[in-house]
Amino acid sequence: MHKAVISVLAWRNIWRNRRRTLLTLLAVAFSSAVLVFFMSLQLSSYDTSINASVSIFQGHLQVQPTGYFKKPKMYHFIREPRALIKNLAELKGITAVAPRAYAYVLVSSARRTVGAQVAGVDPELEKNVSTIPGLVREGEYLSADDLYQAVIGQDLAHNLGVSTGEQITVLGQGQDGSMAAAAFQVVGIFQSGSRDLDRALIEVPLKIFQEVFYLGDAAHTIVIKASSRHRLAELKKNISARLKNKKLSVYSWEELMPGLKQAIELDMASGWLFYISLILIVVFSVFNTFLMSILERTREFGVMLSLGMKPASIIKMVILENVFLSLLGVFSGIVIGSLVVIYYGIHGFYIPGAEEIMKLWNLPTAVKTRLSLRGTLSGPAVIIAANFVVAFIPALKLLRLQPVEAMRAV
Amino acid sequence: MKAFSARAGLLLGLAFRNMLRNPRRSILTLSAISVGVWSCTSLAALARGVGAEMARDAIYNLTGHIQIHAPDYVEDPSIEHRFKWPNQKINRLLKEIDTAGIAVRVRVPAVVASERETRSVTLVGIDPAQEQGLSFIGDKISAGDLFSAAGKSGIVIGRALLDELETKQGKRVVLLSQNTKNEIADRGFRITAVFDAELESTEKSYVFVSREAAQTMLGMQGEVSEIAVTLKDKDKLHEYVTRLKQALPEFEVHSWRELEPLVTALNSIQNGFLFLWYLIVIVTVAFGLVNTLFMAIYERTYEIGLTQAIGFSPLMVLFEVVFESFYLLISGAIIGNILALLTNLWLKDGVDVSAFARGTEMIGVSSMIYPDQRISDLVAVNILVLIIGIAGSVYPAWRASRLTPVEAMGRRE
Repeated sequence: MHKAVISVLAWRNIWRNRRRTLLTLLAVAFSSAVLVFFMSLQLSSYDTSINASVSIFQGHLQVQPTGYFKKPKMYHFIREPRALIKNLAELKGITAVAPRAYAYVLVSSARRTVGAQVAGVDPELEKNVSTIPGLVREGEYLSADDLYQAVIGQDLAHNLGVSTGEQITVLGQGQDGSMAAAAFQVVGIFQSGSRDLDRALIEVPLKIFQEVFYLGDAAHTIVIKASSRHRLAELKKNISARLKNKKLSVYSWEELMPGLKQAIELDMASGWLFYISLILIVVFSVFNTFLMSILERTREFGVMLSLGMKPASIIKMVILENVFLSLLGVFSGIVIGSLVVIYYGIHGFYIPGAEEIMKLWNLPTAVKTRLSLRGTLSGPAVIIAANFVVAFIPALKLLRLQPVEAMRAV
Repeated sequence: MKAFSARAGLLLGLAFRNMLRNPRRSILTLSAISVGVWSCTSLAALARGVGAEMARDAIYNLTGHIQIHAPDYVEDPSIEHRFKWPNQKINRLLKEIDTAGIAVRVRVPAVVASERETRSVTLVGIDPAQEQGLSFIGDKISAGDLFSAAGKSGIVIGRALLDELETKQGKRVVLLSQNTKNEIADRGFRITAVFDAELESTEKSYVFVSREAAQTMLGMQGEVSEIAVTLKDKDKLHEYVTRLKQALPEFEVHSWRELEPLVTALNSIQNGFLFLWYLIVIVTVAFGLVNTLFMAIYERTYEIGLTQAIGFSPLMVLFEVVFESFYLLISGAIIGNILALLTNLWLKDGVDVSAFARGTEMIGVSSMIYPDQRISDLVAVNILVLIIGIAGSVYPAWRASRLTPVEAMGRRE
């Protein structure tokens, strides 16, 4: 009963000065909505960027010879990739597995010579782990595993001055250190949107790669696509357990692309710098109204005390007022912010002049924002917590309130 | 006129005393305004710092302020697009503008192979003396005879590339590249020096040989790929680029802004984002300010009625409130600016973000960020805070001016 009375009193109190409450609510709601939108935009961009980077070429996880990704050496290879693939494909949580081998080469057309990276891929399996086969804009993807065919990036094709049907010559070092050279027919040209891949990647059938670079049956990495990005740690552990060969390790996309992960962390950290400053301002303004509303009621509190209400109950009441105000403001902010997020989720948020930067992150020019618990609640939660904490400063003053003196106050 | 200024003086005085009447409330409002101004300007300084660092790195990374090439080189930087050097016309034109440095280079794609590994790189043939103060490599290799020490066949490569090639200083590597006859030219070079750069990608991307060695290897005698120019006065960039573009139609002239679209894009996004953020923060501040003014008016209802009864016009009441808001805004802004200057002073040695080194590498900046407080940001924030603050306070001020003396005075308890 008593608790209910306090709640009712608190609720009525905040509506005693309607305009003041509405203005405070507006400030809280406005800043919450801003936080919800910006944070959702950030998180959606990260998500899109990670998904694109992972699905274009990297995969969620890769099994590689230990240390290979730091020092990609031809002679650090996985001896029996086929057996390992079979073994891994049985694991729960894995949707696709594919082998790859890599070499740095000099590639020449009739007119030009440039440096590039050749990836030997299994034409069938590759389709399940990478989107490049589907991103072929001209010609088609590799059709057989025993033909000297190549699919190359669009910028590389441009630099070489070749189109589909023409020949390119690849010159590099074989696994044993000897010279390796071969001619391939360009059957397809892909456009992935990733600068590095479009500029420097050549895909050829793995079997041919193994022949040209004296690799036997070996491969350099096994690319793994998981059913979900969010349970990779567990999957990684399970795969590790199956790698009996101690010279092999399994790496996650974060380890393979540390730049992407750290850039995201840096962006998030700098984002919070901005958010904290906004939250600080809102807290000041809520605190100000709250303090005023307490000071102008000193006489009233005196009356309540003399009528036998405990100081603790009065404190409870004013803290409840603060909580009601924060919750109401934050809730409206979340609703408005979410509506904006949903709107840009359908239409995409376009930043003019940002095309180059978006490309660097494998992002489309218009990012579709997505609602997420983290994006929606992080900012508002901090506002509520901060308001709650500072509310105690004036509230605790009430402990020292003497009924007689208080009633004399104007 | 005299009467007007006397009234304004009276109102300004009243407003000032009004502000001091509830110091606690005024201080809280002031704090919110100061925090708003301070956070906007300081965050702008940091964001601009990132942009400035990117620009500096880009210019220093062999770009310079202006570059001159044969047509189509930038789109397709290959040996095909080269030009004869020396060129009297270019020399004469460059003498007419205030250059800080001029570097003439051979710059073509190539492949470098050690005994163990092969990597694709950009081969840059330079005159080390010209590069000093102009690009990072000039300041990294101070001794000009590094190349000739090995009989004109010295090569300087980056630390990260050295690791990848699994080779050492003093060992030989082979450079392969297309020559002027569309054949693959190769030549052995001895590694005479190793350079460290702020970005790993720089260390991996470039290898340097003497310009003569590159010309001989590629069959480019008397020909080069690019001229990079730095200016003494950066503000003249646009003027000089325009002049050179007009005078050299048979060449491609670019400013670094055209050559580094990422830096330019970041700059324009920052402009947009920062302005939006100023608006958001200041609108939030204004809510608090408006609320404070309403409280102040409410407390003073009787008094306002009284002043009106003795002859204050509604307009005077309105100005009294607006002036009070103006005082709060001005003092808040001043404190905010002082805080921002102190913050910049505190951070002048740079903010270390090396915890995110791989991330900063990806956007092309080094791991230190130096605040770059621009006057334009300070002006924008201060003007916006005044305009939005005053605009917001007109509402409570208008309400105050509409009070009628009798009613207002009747409200005294």
